[in-house]
Amino acid sequence: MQGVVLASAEVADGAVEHAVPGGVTALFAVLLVAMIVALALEEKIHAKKSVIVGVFAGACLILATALELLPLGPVELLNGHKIEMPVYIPAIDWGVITIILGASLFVEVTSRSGVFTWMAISLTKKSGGDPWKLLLAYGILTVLFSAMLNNVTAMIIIGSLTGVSLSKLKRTDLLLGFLVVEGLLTNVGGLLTLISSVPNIIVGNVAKIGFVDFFLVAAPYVVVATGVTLWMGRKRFGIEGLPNDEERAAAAGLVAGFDENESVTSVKFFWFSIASLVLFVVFLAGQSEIPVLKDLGMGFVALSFAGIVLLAYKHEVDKFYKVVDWDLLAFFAALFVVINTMEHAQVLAVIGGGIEKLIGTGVSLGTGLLLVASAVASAVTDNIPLAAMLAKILKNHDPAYAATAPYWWSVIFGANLGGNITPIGSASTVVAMTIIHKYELPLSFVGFVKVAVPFAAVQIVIAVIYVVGLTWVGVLSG
Amino acid sequence: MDRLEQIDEFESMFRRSEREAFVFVDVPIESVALVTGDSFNELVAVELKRFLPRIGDATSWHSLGSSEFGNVAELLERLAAQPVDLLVTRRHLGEESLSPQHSLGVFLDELTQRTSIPVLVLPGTAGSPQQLPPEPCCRAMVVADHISGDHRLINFGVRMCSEGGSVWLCHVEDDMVFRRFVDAIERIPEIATEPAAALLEAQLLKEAEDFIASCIATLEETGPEVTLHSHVGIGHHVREYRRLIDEHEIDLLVANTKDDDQLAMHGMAYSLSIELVDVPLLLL
Repeated sequence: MQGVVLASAEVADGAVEHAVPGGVTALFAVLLVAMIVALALEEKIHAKKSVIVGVFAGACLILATALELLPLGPVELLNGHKIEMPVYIPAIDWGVITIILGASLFVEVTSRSGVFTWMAISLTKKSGGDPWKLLLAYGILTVLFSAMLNNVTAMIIIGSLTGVSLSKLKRTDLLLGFLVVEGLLTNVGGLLTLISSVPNIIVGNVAKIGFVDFFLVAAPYVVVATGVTLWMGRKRFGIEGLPNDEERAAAAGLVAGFDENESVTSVKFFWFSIASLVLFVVFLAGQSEIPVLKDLGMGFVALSFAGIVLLAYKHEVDKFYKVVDWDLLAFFAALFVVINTMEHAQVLAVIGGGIEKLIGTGVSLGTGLLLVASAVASAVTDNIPLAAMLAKILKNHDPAYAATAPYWWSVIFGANLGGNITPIGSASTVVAMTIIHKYELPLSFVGFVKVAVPFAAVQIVIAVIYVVGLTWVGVLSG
Repeated sequence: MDRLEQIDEFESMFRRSEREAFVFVDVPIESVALVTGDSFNELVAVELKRFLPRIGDATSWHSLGSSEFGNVAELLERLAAQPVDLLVTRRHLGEESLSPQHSLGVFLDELTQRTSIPVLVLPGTAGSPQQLPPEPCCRAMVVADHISGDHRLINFGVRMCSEGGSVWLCHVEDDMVFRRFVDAIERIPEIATEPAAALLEAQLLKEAEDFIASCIATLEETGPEVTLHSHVGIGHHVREYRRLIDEHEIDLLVANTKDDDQLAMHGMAYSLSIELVDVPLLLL
């Protein structure tokens, strides 16, 4: 956690306030655009995110150092001590990195208990194999898993179960509809808590939005958007309930064959995992109020819980270290370095000027425009750089925005929901498309856009009305 | 691990949790046709009622003599005109003069493949018939190389066993086929041979074990009063079943003969039918 203090110290020294020639800013802006384009074409250029952003981070660091844009020299700590360290180390937001590392390890270990597959199979059986009830069950589970795990894991679990259960029910004609709706719901579920998606973590961390405050603002929207998406999915894909008792009995008989306990290898560890999950949420919710933890931060809570559950596998922890998404973590680290150099090159100040114009149209219109702009931008490129950049720009605003400012929420809602517009808009829709292609279902890139845009448009419109409405009633304040 | 691998991992997990629950049906056997050679039909009927008391109450018994059919097509025609629930016959029917040793005979071969009627094969051959055991059948063995989901096979096995008797539900994976898969795995550097072979073996046997467990639970609850035993393993089909038959002094062997992929008899059933001449067989 020393890194968090260091990062704060670096930001606190106001090193970004210096004159930069317009040509230099333009050069870095070109680099930023090139990186965003490369990320959008990740699949085409066959390179992992960490490599793409790592290359740009290296180039930015070399250029910025050569042009004397970076504050080189020892870093001054909050207690006045100075410490020698490479300039790119304090550029990284270690708070975000520790939350992601801790939470992903925690989820990986607890999922070994079979708790998530147990929940998924139990609900499948409860649905009685009725397609509409099954869609409701899987839709709600997708949202919950996206909130508790992450949207990619949620899509993998629910998407794969959907394939298996609809095959068993001999209703693979509905598979495409189910997968599309589930894909669209992952990004809605990703809005539920502060740690449900990376944009939430980044923006929430910068804006200092508490876990409970985040949940209270996001939850009503998630409930409404989930209901509307499921209803639209039913109409769009003709997913109806079974018409008679005979068909209902036959379907119930088929899903009754699933054994929810198959994946539960140890009942003791199963309950231990459930207890850990509950405590994890409780501690995250109360972290900002609990002495000591409020100073150590949410990342410490996540890492601590990862450590506690890893004790159950203490002789084979290396197995879990191997499955951590190191590409994602390296991507974040490099991204923070890129954004830090962009800040020093005044690129963020220029973009911030444009955003100022949006916000300057008034709280209501500005909030709505920022949300829609964020959504459109995140539809065609990775929403993580977008969220990180916008969060930094909003943070640098003078006077500083409070945690209750609606603009943070515009970025959060926009960055998450924009992922529903195109199949490359978010990692979970990419997974949905992977499963769709695995089952050789006919849906192209354009086909996905045609199907998804009405859903995304409705979700975004509801989000705009919701955020603006919260501002009007005073829950959020500009 | 890439996304496709993760999806595949979860799909496997969910597929593994699929269980086929056994459904007990008391198979009706109301009519029996005897095609065992002119001089034997009457005697066989008496022996059969003693050997399989649970089919003794069949309401109609038909005896088809050689004058009623001259070839397979005519026999099938007769059976189509008068459907029955069980057909009783012998190996090498009508081929006594040929003295065959390593075949079943044209009639038996065709009957098992061209009709869906269960065929009870009496021990011995038409040329040298053997008598059915003098005691009622109280030790039946149901054999398969893929027993999971085969409700019909098990229901027939249970139907043939006398009240208070024992039924063995057996599943033997062919060790040669398994070895060939392991040999292939051994040549794939990306797959660790030992754990892969162990997992493959465990999964192959687990499916059969799960289904047999479901059969035992269902039959104990709703089936007739028979004691159920199971044997699940890997080995040479014929040798393993021969060993089990001898070990448990089996009175009747029940096996499937239909193969979805071909018109000829299922390989395992064919070898068993030829090699286990002294054991009564029920071929489905």
